[in-house]
Amino acid sequence: MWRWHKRLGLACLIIFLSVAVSGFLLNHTSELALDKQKTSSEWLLAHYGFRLPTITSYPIHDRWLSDLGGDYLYLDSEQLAYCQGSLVGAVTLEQFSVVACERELLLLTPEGELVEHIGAVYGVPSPIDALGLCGEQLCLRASGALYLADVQQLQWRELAEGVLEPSEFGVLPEALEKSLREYALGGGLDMERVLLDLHSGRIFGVYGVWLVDLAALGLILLALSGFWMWYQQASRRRG
Amino acid sequence: MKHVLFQVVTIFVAALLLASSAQAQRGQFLTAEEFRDQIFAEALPYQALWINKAQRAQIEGILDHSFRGLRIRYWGSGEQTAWIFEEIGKELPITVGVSVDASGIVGLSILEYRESRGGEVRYPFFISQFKGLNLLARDEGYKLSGHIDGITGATLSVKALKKVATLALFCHQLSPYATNHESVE
Repeated sequence: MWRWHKRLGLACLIIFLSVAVSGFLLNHTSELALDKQKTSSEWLLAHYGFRLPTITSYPIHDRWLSDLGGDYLYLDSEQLAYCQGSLVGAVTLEQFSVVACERELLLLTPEGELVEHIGAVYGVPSPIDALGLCGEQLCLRASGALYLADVQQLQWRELAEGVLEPSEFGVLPEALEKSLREYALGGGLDMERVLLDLHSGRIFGVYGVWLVDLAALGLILLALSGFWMWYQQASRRRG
Repeated sequence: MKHVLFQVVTIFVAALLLASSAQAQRGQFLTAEEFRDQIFAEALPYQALWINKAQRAQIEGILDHSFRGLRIRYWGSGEQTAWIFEEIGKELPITVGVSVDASGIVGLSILEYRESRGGEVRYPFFISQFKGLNLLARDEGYKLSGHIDGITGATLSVKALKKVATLALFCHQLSPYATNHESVE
């Protein structure tokens, strides 16, 4: 009996520790503010189905324009405007900044205010894959062809030949990138949720729940066998 | 067995007909340049109407949602202007061109319709209702001067077109081509 008791205890050791520690922490959720602590573990976030944003950013007028992979562009950490397609370039001109998404252009003032959307209805060639300068003139590339872009008169003149110097994306300051990432993940994933799922085994899916169920059964058997061994020893001493 | 086969074929044909009808409602019917050329004799350059804060608030009142942007493009000549707006019907934007002169709306055209239902709004029996309508300023905001009959199954598209028509009349009066230029400023 003792040998089986020992084997069962060892087999369930890791699960018992995991359930006990997570249970202990969950008993103190409020004091430890577990519901407010967000995990930044990429593995855990991906495991829970959070889509990790791929951030594309361009510097404009000493600020950062970013695409978090959704429908909106962000200027620093503020939502700026809807833009059709992914962000493909941004050029700072004297009066405006011109921003290119795949299917439209946006004009911004130096203060970052949206002047207008210039979409397909105005004949913008699309899908745009790069925005930059051809010499000193604003230029875009769409479907492999180069176009001189006049954003005042909304004219797009195809260039037979020319060299596009595309706008260069930049690397966001660490703090801004962190804040945009957190924003993109919405409420994110709190530690209380993770611990609850670890406690129940749900973190490993259906099989995890079954494993914790088996461990619970093992714990019952351990209690009963422990009691039985103590009872037998006590009987022998009395007898 | 034959009966079941007949039912399956009937359902398949009906689904095909429905799908092709939805496809027929969608489409680009005019480019911006074609719309302009229908209204003006010459290829006019784009003009820009700059919007201030108060005007933006009025535009948002007409559209019943936020309006981002500082300027609106249009064409103008004599006393006539032409505008292109995009407004969401149910889920997707409808691209609408509206021409306005001193007498009110001269014409309205659907340049592109993207929804699968409600495309009847582009037909003359509906569009012609907007002709001659003007802008009315009421306590609750700007309205069209006349009633527009709806279309069953296209309620949201009709609503979107009424907003666009009102907006075009409002913007026309802000433009230098309006005879009563100051009235809405």
